[in-house]
Amino acid sequence: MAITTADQFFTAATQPIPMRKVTIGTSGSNANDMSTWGYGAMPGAGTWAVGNTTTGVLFDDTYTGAPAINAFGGGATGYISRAKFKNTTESVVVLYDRLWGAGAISVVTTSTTTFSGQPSYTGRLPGGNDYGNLEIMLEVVTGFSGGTQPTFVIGYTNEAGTPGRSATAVTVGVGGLTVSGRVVRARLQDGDKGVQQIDSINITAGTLTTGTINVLVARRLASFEMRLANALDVQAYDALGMPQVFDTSCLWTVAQGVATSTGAFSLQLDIING
Amino acid sequence: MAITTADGWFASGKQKILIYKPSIATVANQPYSLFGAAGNPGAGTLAIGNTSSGVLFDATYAGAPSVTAFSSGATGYLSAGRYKNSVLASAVLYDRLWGAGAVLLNSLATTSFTSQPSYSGRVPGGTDYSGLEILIELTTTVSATATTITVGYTNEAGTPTRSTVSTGSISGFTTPRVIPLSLQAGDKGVQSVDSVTVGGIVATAGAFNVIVARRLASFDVRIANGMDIQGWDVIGGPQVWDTTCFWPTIIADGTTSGIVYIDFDVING
Repeated sequence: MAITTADQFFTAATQPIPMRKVTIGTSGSNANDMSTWGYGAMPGAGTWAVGNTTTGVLFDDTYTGAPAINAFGGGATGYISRAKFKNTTESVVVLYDRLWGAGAISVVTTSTTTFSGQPSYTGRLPGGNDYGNLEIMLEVVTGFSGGTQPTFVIGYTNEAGTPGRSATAVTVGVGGLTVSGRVVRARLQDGDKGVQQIDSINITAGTLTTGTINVLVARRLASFEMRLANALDVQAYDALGMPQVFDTSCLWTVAQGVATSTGAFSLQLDIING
Repeated sequence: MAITTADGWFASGKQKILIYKPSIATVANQPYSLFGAAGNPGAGTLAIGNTSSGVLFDATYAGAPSVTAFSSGATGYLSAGRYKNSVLASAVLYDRLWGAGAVLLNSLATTSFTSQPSYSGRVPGGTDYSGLEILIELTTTVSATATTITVGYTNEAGTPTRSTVSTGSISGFTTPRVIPLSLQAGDKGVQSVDSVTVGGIVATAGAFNVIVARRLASFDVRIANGMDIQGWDVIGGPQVWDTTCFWPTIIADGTTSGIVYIDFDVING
């Protein structure tokens, strides 16, 4: 089923999903993307290191760090229908469905980590086979310290099923990667439009003495913005676009404060299904 | 079909489309193309590779985000959009319809196009060519020469041999700068581009594409790292297709485009 009328929208089963996150320092680097996964307060902090570097894992709402989502009605389709975002500082927060991840992988030594038997995330894509517009991200697990930053090349299968593609993460300088949770987005290979799976990650070590990362695939659900400290960004279904979610979705926020912290924010989502 | 009721909105198929582009060098307050820029989608090839008929762009082109097929007979719309930038800049989202190039600037010549593929399937109603724009997209930086470009075209009413206003000197213009051209007095749109003429002082370097595009949405950020969020009422629900070649251009206040995120919703029903 799906929600196909205004009447169904008004009568749909609704569940509020409250999320609150403590402020995160960005180690002196302004406007850096920061994963809130391993930080409190609600849901409680997840574990940074994915704990799997062979197949990777399919995240879902049962993972520590993700809010719980009640099961939908039989055959029902779920959507984010409303959202209210408040933050103590000027910032942008992007809400993702955290689909797949592997790590933690050391950045201190040169290595290639190859994945096989990766769990499929087709069940978390609208239509089940639309890999377009998915994003690849690196998430710092253990903050980098030491000398020069390594380079990263991520091998992946693109949205059309073509393997052997390579994405290079944007390098931002070691200063921005000293804290757990720092997120770096990868650029896809020329011509690609999405990601069917991650196949490998090659790290050419610099001269760091510490540092580990996760590699992630995520689907962007919504974006919020705060231009006045302690103000509120309220978005109804039309601005949100009612993105489809699943009762297994792993809701995950990436925050970007304009200064040196993300701010303490709250995000209340309404999820409907019908 | 078309979406003509609120129920139609709820019943519509919905998809989110992402464009993420790391910063490129720009000239302040001038438009630049992000078609060939790295990111997500990955970079497209700037030089079109066709100077005879031109090409009809679509969502399968490298550089364009993928669009999932609409339901049979459904009509698509841009229903919401979110634009974020690390610098002060506005952005215009186009449907990149037709293009030809790269045309070299190192000879003063007219390049004529024949058998151009029609883009009638990508204009509302199939016959509404009004509001379409002619844009020059530089694929190679121009030498310090007062070279000019003029485009011959058929206007929205089907009247041929119309001419844009000249670009004026494009001396030193850098790739991938975009130059919007003014239509001939009285014209309102473009049914086809028929020729391009390189004039002025011959260049020692430089090349360009000529593009026909349909403007879909405009965004602006006035605080670095700010965001412009537009719901259906603000964005206006412009019609799009599952073949639409979404193409962002950026006009930054300074000399970099900034790190650009445009994610938008396409509905169909």
